[in-house]
Amino acid sequence: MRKLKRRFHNMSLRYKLSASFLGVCILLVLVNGIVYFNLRQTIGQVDGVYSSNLELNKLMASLDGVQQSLYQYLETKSSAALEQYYVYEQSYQDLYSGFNTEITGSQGALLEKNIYNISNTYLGKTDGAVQAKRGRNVSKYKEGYAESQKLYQYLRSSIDTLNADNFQQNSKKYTVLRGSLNSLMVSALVLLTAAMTVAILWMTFITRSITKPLEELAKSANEIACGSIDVGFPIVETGDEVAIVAKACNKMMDSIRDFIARIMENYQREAEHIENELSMKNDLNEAQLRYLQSQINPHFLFNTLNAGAQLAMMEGAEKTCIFIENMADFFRYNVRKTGQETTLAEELELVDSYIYILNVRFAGDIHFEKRVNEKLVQVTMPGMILQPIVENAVNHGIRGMEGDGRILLSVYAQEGDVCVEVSDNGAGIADETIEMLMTSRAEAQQAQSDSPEGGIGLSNVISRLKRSFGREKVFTIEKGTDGVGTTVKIFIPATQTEQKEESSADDQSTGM
Amino acid sequence: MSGKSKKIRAMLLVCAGILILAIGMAVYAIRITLHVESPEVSGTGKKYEYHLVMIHSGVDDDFWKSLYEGARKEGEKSGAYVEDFGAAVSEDYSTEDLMEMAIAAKVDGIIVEGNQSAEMKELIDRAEAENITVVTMMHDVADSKRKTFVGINTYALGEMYGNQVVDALQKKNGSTDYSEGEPKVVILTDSSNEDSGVTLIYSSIRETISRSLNSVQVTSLDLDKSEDFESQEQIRNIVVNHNTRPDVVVCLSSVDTISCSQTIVEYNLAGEIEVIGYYSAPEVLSGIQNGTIRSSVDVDAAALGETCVSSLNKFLLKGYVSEYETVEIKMITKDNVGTYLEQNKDGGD
Repeated sequence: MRKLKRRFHNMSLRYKLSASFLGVCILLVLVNGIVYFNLRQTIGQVDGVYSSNLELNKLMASLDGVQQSLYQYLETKSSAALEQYYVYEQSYQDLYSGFNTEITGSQGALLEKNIYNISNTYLGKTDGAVQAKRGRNVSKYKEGYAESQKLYQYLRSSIDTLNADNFQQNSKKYTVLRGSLNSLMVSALVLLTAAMTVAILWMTFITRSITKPLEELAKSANEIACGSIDVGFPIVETGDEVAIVAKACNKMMDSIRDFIARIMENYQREAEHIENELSMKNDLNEAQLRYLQSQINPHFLFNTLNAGAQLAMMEGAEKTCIFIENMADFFRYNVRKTGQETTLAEELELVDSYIYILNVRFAGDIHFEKRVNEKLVQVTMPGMILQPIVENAVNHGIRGMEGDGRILLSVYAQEGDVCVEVSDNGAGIADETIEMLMTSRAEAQQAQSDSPEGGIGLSNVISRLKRSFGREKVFTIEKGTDGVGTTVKIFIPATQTEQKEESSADDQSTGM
Repeated sequence: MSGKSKKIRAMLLVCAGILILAIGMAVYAIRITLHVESPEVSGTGKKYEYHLVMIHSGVDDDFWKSLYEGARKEGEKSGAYVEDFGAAVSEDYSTEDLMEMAIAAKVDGIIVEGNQSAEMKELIDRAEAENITVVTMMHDVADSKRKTFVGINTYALGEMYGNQVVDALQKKNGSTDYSEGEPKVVILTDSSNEDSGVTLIYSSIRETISRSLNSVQVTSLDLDKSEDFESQEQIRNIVVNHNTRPDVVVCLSSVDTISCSQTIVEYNLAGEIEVIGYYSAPEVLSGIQNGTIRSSVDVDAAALGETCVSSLNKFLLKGYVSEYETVEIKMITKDNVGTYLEQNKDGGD
């Protein structure tokens, strides 16, 4: 039973429904079969209740036929009457041959036995009379007829009695059968009603067991549709397609949740990236701002310097004019190139202007030397890189030193890169400072911002170089031997040259 | 399990119960049908070895009923079914007709109330010729080939009646004082029964009376029983007529005894006419109790029936039996009627 239940449980919906319908159909057919069988049997009984009386009436008719045809034959000796006699005799024999011959306590059965035996005696007498008639033994056939007549009367009377007895019994049977037919009708009605009720309840039960998990699934689906992503589909152990759908939906929901988590992660990463970018821009802006803060209205100053140069030219003060022009160039470059791409050549020119200004300012104390491979100067690089490095070399290296302060700027090719090297013979640099500059950008920045001269800090320079070239190897600071001097190297990728050449060609072609 | 599911299961159980009930009803109906189908609606379906028939002239007489019951019960014991042959047939056949039917029906044995007709003797001989054992009862058929006769000692019966008559007359008139003429004694006999037994009883009564009393007028009244209801009218005639009114009436059948006592009650002649009756029918016993019947000769009918069947069985089994078997007779008077009434009461219960 339990096995059957489990098998039913694990069936597919189609088989479940088919099995249920089949079960109901079998139940109804069975019930109808029982009802039909009972009614048929009882109606058959009712039909056959008086059959024994009909048989006895036939027997009586045959007996009459035997006696009459015997009389006719004895009277007329006609062969037709004899033939009729034999026909009736045969029919009569056939009819009573099935009678009871045993001695029982039943009155009817005993009467049948008596009729059976008297009939045998009677037919013996009639046959004897017929034989005697054939043999023309008048006295014998008369005697035979008289005896048969007597027996005929006894038989009639006995058959009548049996018929009445049977009728009485059959009437009782009929009453009983009518009663049982009525009770059968009632029981059939009850049976059909009960079967129908069972069928309806069974179907309701089955339908409910199928639709309930579906309803639960639909409810969960609705909740999910409303946004409750954490709602799981109910685990239904129906073993049918609903269970498969529920499991599949649960798997799908797991996948969706996993996917969403991954998207969130990516989004966070992206946000971090954007934040990083924003902070880089912020660095640049900060550099520009600091620069602008250090220059009071550079445009005004630049224009004023140009006016000063022209005035010096008109007055014939050539040195003053050159000085002012160098200053104007320096500031123009600053105004134009800050935050933009430039070439190494332009950067070198700015350094020249800067050194010239400083030498005028400090009366030629700075000995600046350049060793430049001219083939490499067209390489592109971010603006305002070399000037802050040189400025650092002057401020932290050679200023205030005894003797001549020297600065050497070399440009050469090294391992596919263009190397710009700035070295001085100044006070040197502490290891802590180098490490601080190369690792901690924020602290270096702080240190730079605290410098009384202002200007663009080295860490800003390093940061812009890294971002511009997209690599780490862009800048090195080395201490000189015996703690004297500092060497700063910038590595510019050589590919920057070709791009610049292409862009220069483009500029030329457009007349710029 | 949820409540709803429990409810559905309970309903399913109830419906299954109804279903079983309905199937039970259907099975019950089938059983009724099968019961109806069986042929043994009345009587018992028991099988017997012998088929014996009892043929007598009595109809619904208590005496014959009791006799048949005794015979039937005895038959049951030995595997023989005793059929009350006349009762089974709807028409009113004579004893001879029934005898002839029984022979034609090839029964195993016949117990018949004999009479003196030649036809009866001839029928008994024919039955014996066809290997059907015949036992006569109550009245014998002289010179027939019947195997045995079971009855009562008619001479002793006559003597009993005679003694009762003498006793009655002596008590009524006081020894031999016949101031009102000779006392009349009427013996009611059956004219249709030409049995030597009746003659014997009659002569025995006469003989017994004459031994004790002189000048007693003893006559017999032949009641014509060939027609229904005639006997009761004849009894009334002799009782009502003052000239023919007897002092003592002797009845040789229980029907006559009851008819006679009823007539006496009806005409208020109790004490004037003494009735000496026959058999221990309830009406006879109550008649004795209230004094309308002086006494009654009782033949144990059941014992008589039993003896008939046992004799017949004895012959069927052993091939021999004694020619005469008698049963005891007793006199019921006011003194011992109580015992009989009690017996009847017990039997009735």
